[in-house]
Amino acid sequence: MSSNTIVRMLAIILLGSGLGVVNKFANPNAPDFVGIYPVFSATDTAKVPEAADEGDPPYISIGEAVGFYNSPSVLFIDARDEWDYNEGHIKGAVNLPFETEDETILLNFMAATAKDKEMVVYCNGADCDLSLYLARTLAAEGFTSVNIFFGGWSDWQLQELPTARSTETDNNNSVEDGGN
Amino acid sequence: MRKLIDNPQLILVLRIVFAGIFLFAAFGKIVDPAAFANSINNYHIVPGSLVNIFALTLPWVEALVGIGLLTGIWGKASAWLTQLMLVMFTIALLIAISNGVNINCGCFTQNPEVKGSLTMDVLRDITMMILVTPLLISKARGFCWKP
Repeated sequence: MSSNTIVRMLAIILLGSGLGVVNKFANPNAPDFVGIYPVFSATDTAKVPEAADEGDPPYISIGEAVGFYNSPSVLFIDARDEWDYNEGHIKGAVNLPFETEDETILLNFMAATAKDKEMVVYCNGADCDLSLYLARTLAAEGFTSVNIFFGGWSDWQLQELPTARSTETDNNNSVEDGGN
Repeated sequence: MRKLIDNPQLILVLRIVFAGIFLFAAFGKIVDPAAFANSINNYHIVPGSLVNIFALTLPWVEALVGIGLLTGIWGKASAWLTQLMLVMFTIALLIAISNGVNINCGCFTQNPEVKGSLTMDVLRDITMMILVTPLLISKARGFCWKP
């Protein structure tokens, strides 16, 4: 291999990297330069509630949830009530309280969101079935890419992944913002 | 053997085949770098902080190499980079196999549901490494090939 070839190889790598940077800003599917990838075991499996049914939307593990989180087009939905959400939630998640008499938020959300929007629904974790019920409702309304992260808020905190309180800067913390 | 390797027709066919493979592989990754980042992360080899940088840049190097092989511009450098990437991919696959992780190779599709055999992926990459070798050592010229 001549030195000329080596120089050209390096030039191709440099040019490719430059185009990658351009793509980062031009492509809405491009992740940030530095992603969040905690080390999870290869056997990391999804938690499934006792109330699970065969026809439920897919349950995802925390590893898979982080995978979704790194994709800017995926919407995280917090199914807990507003108070819990305000106290702390997955950064960027929108709040769709499931146990509420006022269904306007949910109806508005469903009217404004594409049916094939990729989404991850969660609530508190282990003893909370709100994510399951909300996900079932969304799936029944024709949303095709709903995932349930049953490990939820408690597992997310445990792994010290990005969180926000509603008082902190959180660009996408309300449904009115249109989510991310 | 030497005659075969220096055969311009053979070199042209190999260039077109590899250009096609690498351009095809690059396209899906460029369109959805986030999905490719997940595929990379599933290998548990690249440090988390570097995963996205890899996912953003590697497909473009693949694409440029594909263009280089097709047009012959910087053809030899492109062929060497092809071989280098194949070696890198094969090592990654072997590490994944030895760690016993059950993942999608991420080579051509980023859908995690598509899980082929990693061993078959290794065999494919080794076959490709053998087939790309003539491009590295051939003295054939013509068809815009400027080694």
